[in-house]
Amino acid sequence: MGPATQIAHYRIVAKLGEGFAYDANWSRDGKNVVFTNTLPKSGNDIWVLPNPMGNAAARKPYGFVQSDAYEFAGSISSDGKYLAYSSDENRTMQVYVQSFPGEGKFQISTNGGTRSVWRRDGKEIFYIDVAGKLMVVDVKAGARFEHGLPKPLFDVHIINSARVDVSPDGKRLLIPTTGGELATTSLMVVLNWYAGLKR
Amino acid sequence: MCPAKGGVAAGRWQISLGQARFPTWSRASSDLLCLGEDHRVMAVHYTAKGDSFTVDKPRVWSPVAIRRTGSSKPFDIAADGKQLVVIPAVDDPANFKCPVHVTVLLNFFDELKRRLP
Repeated sequence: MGPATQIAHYRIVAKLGEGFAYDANWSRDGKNVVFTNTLPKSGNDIWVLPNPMGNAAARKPYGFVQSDAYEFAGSISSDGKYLAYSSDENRTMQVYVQSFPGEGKFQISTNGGTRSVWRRDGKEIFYIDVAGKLMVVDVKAGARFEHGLPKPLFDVHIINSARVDVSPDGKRLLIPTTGGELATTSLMVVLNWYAGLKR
Repeated sequence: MCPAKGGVAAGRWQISLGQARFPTWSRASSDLLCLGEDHRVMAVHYTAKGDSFTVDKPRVWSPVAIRRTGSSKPFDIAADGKQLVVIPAVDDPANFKCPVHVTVLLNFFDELKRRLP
């Protein structure tokens, strides 16, 4: 009989010290984990943990979007070149895209926006506007970032702070919902939203 | 291109996973991952065919319990579908002196099957 097989359940990849971190988002290329970090001095900021599965020397978390404003819900585009996040830097919470790494910045939402997510192919960003409507914006990532105007999809009674999630094939949305026509907390899968838009 | 009017343009399914929360599409398989009532990550196999969308019974994805971070999703899945990044909650969000770790969970049961078929 050989030696017993031992399988680890988990691995601590970074110690953040003081703060309250949440909302981790793993980039599709696996190179970065983006999260919201709340610190007593600067409030809510967007932080990045590079090389989460690399060697310890390369895993140094750092603040990427840090200001007096309330920033949260960061996520990196599938090509790894842009970061979408929410910020109230102009008083109203809006969705922004910033070059990653870099400083070029674009405001994506117009009527308030939070909890943005990229479609897996990087061609669209979804977010919830101030009225609770699911919005979509056509975007073009790559060497140069371009975006269209937000378009409404439908009302969602999404759970507070939750985000929709786009299926790997880009055809379905998973929406944690509550209230409205649904009496209890539920999940909702929506199909063919894009085909509906094309009609 | 015109926006859809009057609600969802096509299929919509309400699915219940009991008390499970934070549903996420797996990047690598036909599974939804979610946090179960006992704070362990569960996987739920789904079948999407034509106009139907059905889910199987949830199964444990990792035996490690994650403490919830309020209403924000406490995990995200890697592109290969084999690992989750997790930030365990501190005891009290107002207590900034609690050390915070970023942790990666491994898919214990799939790895076990691979090693001990």
